[in-house]
Amino acid sequence: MKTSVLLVDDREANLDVLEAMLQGLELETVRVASGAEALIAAAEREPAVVLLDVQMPGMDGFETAKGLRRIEGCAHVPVIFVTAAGLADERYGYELGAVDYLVKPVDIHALRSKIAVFVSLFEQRQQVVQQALELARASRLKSEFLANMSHELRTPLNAIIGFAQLMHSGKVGAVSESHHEYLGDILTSSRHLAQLINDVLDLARVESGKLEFRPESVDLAALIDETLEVLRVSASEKGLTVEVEIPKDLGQVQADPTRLKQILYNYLSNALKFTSRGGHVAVRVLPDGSESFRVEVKDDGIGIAADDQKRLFQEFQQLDAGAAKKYQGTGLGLALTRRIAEAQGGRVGVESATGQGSTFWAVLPRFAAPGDIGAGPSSRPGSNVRPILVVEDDPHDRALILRAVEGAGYSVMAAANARSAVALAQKNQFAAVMLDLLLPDASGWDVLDAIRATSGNANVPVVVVSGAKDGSIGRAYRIDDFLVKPVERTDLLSSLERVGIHPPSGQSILVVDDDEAMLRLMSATVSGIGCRPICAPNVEQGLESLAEDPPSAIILDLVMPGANGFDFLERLRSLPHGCDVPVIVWTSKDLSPDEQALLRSSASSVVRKEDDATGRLLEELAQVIDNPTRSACFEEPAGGQ
Amino acid sequence: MASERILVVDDCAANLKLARVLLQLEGYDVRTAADAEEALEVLDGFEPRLVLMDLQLPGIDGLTLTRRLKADERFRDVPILAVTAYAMKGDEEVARAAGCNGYVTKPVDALTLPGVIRALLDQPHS
Repeated sequence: MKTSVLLVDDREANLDVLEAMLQGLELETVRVASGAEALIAAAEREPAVVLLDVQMPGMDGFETAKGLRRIEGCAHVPVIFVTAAGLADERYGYELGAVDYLVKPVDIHALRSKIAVFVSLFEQRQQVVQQALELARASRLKSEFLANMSHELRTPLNAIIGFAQLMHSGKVGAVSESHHEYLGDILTSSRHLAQLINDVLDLARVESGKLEFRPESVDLAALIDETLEVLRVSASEKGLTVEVEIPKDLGQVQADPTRLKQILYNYLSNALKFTSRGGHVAVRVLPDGSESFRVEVKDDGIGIAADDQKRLFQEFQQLDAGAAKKYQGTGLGLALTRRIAEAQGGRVGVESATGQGSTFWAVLPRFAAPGDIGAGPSSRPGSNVRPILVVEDDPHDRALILRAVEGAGYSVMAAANARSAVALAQKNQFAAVMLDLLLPDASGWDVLDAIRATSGNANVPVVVVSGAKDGSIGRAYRIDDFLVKPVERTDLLSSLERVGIHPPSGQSILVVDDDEAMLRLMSATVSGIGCRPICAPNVEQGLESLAEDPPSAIILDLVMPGANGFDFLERLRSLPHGCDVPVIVWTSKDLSPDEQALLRSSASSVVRKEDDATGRLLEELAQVIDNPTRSACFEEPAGGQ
Repeated sequence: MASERILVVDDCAANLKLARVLLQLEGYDVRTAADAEEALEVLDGFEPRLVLMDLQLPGIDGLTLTRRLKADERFRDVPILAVTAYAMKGDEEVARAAGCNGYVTKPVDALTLPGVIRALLDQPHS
């Protein structure tokens, strides 16, 4: 599909000229004759650049540019204003995000070269998205390979260790003393190999971001004790004393117990290895500010020279081959420790000097990583709530999911293929992702990887909604829930609740406006603050919806064909509860003093479309829905009906 | 009293042999099968007290076989101990959801496995 350029001008002749000028360039032109049509065209297909006439009847170029910013995927679309000399307020245009001005009559060479630049930039960005997908795919294949390899390696190892154990234990008949010793050597080496396989697999998982962290409240004393239990025999064999110190006032600590044990185990087994007979090892936990805590393992062993300390936490960097043989490490333990800590937002280090012992430490976040970004039930409607990304190529399924999820009050963005899903994830932070696995242009798992690789969505909860349950691959991925099609509305909503994402608020906002583009703009604006939009294109439908779906507030246009906004207000205020609903009038009409007085008594506020409409509208909305008591009929003192 | 019967299902010949030797040493009457089909054939004339089940089998996998056995009146109460080389979080939940009564990971500890089996056999059935 060729890259598209959107041409917006109310005069057919001007569109013809622009189109002719662009002939021969590798692009497709999309022509529209009004701002409203431009918004619709842009929402349907993201253009590489918009050539926008400033002077148009109805919604002018500036209004259109503002509207474009609110459309999904078009927040950053470059806009070039086309204007007659001296007519436009250039600075205002640039504030709206215009990248350039072209003065009529447009110079063909300037136009062609500018458009070519934006088309090329757009295509490069598409390529980056494509590459991100391919990279994710390669990384997935590598992880699958490692998982399979680890399985394949463990299977023969099972027999090696098992038979060696049998013979070593003497259960299948007596063995000579030297046979017993050699069987012990086989056992030690094969267990070493098993540990190495586990470490390599863990390392691969951390690297691909697939290591799971399940933070929970932990009892540190018990956790340290359990870790020590495994090492107790080797400690007592060497006559080492191990001391544990946890301050009483440490406070609440949340961590993934398995991973914390892994870190502790690596540090402790090192300390036991490198401490001579009769030595002393201490485990200490310390607070590290209010956000983190610190775990230290201190030994009085051989110590580490300053030069060597840097290499300690790198993969396969044991200090010397001799030490490796003598101490039987995998060379991965500390590297893994570092990566496990860093993956949780922590850090590690060592303080040591040759002959003076070492202190290995890890600083870890005290509370769960902010993976659960789900706005809790307590979240305020006025606050900025992240949307849910729905990735589904089947239009029927997509519509179903959108209806269910939007209907419950979530704000939603949708993508029909892998490319647009990844492009959206690069620009937005999501509360959750609902993902179909069978997409036309890439595997859902690759999309998942690519989304997780974006800066804002590393820990985003993911609900897979798929036609087939593919558990074998799914196990290697961090998904939070799995729904098998066909799904129903309640399945979708309870799944979101299960992963901890609650509807931002139950509040709905009724928007009454005859301009379709404005309805879409308002709908996006209202969803953006976590409310549910109810759109009505005329007064009658607006009034009808009041009964079946009472809104928390109303955004009302005044000038509409047939019954207008004033009629709506009059009829609304005569309804039994119509007096309580705050109404924000949103208009470009010049109000007469009489009309102003009327609105003062029957509307909460008036926002002029010429102002930075959406910004002010949002402020007003936040006020009326956060503060419902203020809403009533604007009568002071209250109660005078 | 006749010795208790155990069926071992594993596609790796060495592991199958290891399990057989190990369990025979404990005094069990052991039969083996290298895949699900063979297991079903063995089960035709052999009612085990317990099945030691490798989950990764060629063809019909161990989870599917487990579900099939748990759906069969004759074997519903036979405890199934899952053995797997995958050691990922969530695998155990998956195995238990399929009906496995116990779960051990490879490499299996030959010295503790008999104890795990004994405990499953001694568990009272509900």
